[in-house]
Amino acid sequence: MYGNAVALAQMAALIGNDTLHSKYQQKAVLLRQLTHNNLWDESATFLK
Amino acid sequence: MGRISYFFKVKHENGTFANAREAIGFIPWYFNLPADLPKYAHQWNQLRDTTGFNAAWGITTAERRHPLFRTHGSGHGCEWDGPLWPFATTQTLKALSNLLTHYKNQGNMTPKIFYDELYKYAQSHQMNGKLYLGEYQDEKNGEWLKGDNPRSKFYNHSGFADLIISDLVGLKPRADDILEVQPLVPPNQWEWFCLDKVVYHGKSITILWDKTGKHYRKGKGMRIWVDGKEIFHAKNLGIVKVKI
Repeated sequence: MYGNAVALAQMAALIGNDTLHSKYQQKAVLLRQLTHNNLWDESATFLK
Repeated sequence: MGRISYFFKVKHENGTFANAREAIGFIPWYFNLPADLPKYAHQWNQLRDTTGFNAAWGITTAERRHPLFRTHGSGHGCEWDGPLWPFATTQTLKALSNLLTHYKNQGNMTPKIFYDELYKYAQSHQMNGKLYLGEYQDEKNGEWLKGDNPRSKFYNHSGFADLIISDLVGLKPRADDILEVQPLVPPNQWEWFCLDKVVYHGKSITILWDKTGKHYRKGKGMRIWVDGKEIFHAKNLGIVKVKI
């Protein structure tokens, strides 16, 4: 999902569509934040 | 497993985590997702730990120290208890390549480790000494868990060629007209190699390394040709960014 959002943001930038670029850019930022906040197991020091 | 089955249970409803480290934990680097911090990079140390993911035939899909590792696989259905799964290995090696290419914090990972794991992976694509790729593989002796079962036999689940082209030799796909090459071949590992006739942006690319110049007789060092015209030459293997 993160990979798709990043790719879609880049594709939108290529065709100069600012609205779509910012939409998928925001999705990517959110998904990245959620991964860091939810899937990092501090006691195992490992992403799960 | 009872009547309720599941693929993964990495996080329980009460917020606690499953107690096993799994190779899927490396996938975020496949997308260059994790922040470039020592604490995240540190988890890669598990890759070469023989109680972590390091086995004779490759990278296991779950940590080997876990008490339930390889204890309940059936040999018939899906095996989610830790054997080698070639597609997961492709994902982990791509993630490792990204770590080594795009991150400052790399734990104890090196291009030599990438090379050794990729070599092991290449060796694992066999059955009885002949080229073969199945679904799941025993981590200690390379036996395919489903034998010659057609589901396994025609699985063809490996991104091996991409790992060679885009990661070991390091041709990085880009949208613009810059040709970017970031080799992960360790220094002094190979005297020579050549990646020939890669179709890229409608052009034919050749990337060649010849330490002494005697193997291909095209001269010493690293050289790149685009549609037969030499556009780059350097003494040593390294990062290249040239306009094509």
